[in-house]
Amino acid sequence: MEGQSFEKQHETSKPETGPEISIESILERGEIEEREDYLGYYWPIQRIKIKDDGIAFFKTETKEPESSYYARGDYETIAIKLDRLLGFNIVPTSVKRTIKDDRGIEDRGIMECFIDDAEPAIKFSIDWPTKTTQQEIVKAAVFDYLIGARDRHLANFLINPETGKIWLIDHAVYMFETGRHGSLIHDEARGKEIPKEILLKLVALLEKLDSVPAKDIATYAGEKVEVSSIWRRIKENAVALVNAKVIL
Amino acid sequence: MTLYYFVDLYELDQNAKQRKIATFKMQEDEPGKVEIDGDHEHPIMRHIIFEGIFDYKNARPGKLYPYDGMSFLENLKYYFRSGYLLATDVQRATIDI
Repeated sequence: MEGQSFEKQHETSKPETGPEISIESILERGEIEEREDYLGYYWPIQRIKIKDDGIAFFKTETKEPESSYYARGDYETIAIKLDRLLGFNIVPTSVKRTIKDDRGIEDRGIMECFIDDAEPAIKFSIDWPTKTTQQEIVKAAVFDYLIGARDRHLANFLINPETGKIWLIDHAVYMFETGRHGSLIHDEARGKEIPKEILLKLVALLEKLDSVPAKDIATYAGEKVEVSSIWRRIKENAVALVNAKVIL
Repeated sequence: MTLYYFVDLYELDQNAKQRKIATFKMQEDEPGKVEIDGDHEHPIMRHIIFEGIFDYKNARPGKLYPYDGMSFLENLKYYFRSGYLLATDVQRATIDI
C-alpha cells in the first residue's frame, strides 16, 4: 500500500516467488530489532525497527491509566476496521500486539505502520488543499463525516505533496469523543459532490455493516469503548451521505 | 536565579528518528512572553506563530498563541501528540543569570 514503508522494503528484498507477506502479518509477528522511546508527553510512543522490514510506532495501552477514556488502541482499531471495510486505504495499517519490554514485562498496544513519504499537513499551513487533490479531500471528508471527527486539525493528517495522497492519523478519544474542533478536511469539502465510486463504496459499507454483528466488532476492537454506539453513528452517517450525495 | 518553563517540540526524519524543531520557553516573571529557540522560518513554527493551536486543557473556543504564555505552553502537548509531531510536558529549569 502506497507510502507504508514495509512495502517499499519488500520491493527490494522480497523474493520474486513465494507467498505475499501482508503488512498486518509483519506488524503482528515481525522480529523487533530496535525499540526506542520517543520524547513527548501525552501518550507513550516508541519507534520500532522490525528486522528486515520497516519502521513502526508502538503505542502502548499498558502504560495508560486504567480508564475507558484512554482506550486509544480500541479507537485506532475502529478507524482501521472502518477504513478496510470502505476500501479507502486512508488510515495507516495498525494491529494490536503484545510485546515484552526490557524487563520481560508484557506491554500491550497498537503497532502502526510509519508513513515515510508524507508530511504532517501543518507544514503546508493554510495552503494544504493545494498539496492534495479534490478526490482525496472528499474521500477523507467522507471518512471524517462517518466517524464524526472531532479533532482533525493540521497535525492530525499527512499529505504526500508529490502524489496528493492523504493519510488520516491519531484516532484516539479526542477524535471520536471529546474533541471540540471538528474536522478541517470536512470543512473544506462541505457541499462538494461525492463521486460515484465513493458512493458505491458507502453502499457496500452499509451492506457489510449489516452483515457484521455488533458483538463481533466489539470483540475485534476491545471491550473498553462503546463500539456498538460508534458503529451505529457511522451507519447513520453513511445513510445520510448516500441520500445526500454531497458532503453534508 | 531565574525560573524558566519550557516545552520541546519534535518532528521525525525519514527514518522516524526524532529531531527537535524548537524549544518554547517562558520566564516566570514574564508570564505573557513565550520565546522560541529554533528556526522561526520552519513552516511548522510559522504556522504555530500565525495560526495558533487549540485550547484542550480548558476547552475554550478560539486559538492560543505564544503571547498567551502558560496556557499556550500547557496545550502544546495535547495538540502535538501523533508521533509524527510530539511536544513534551511543561518542564522547569532554573538558570543563573
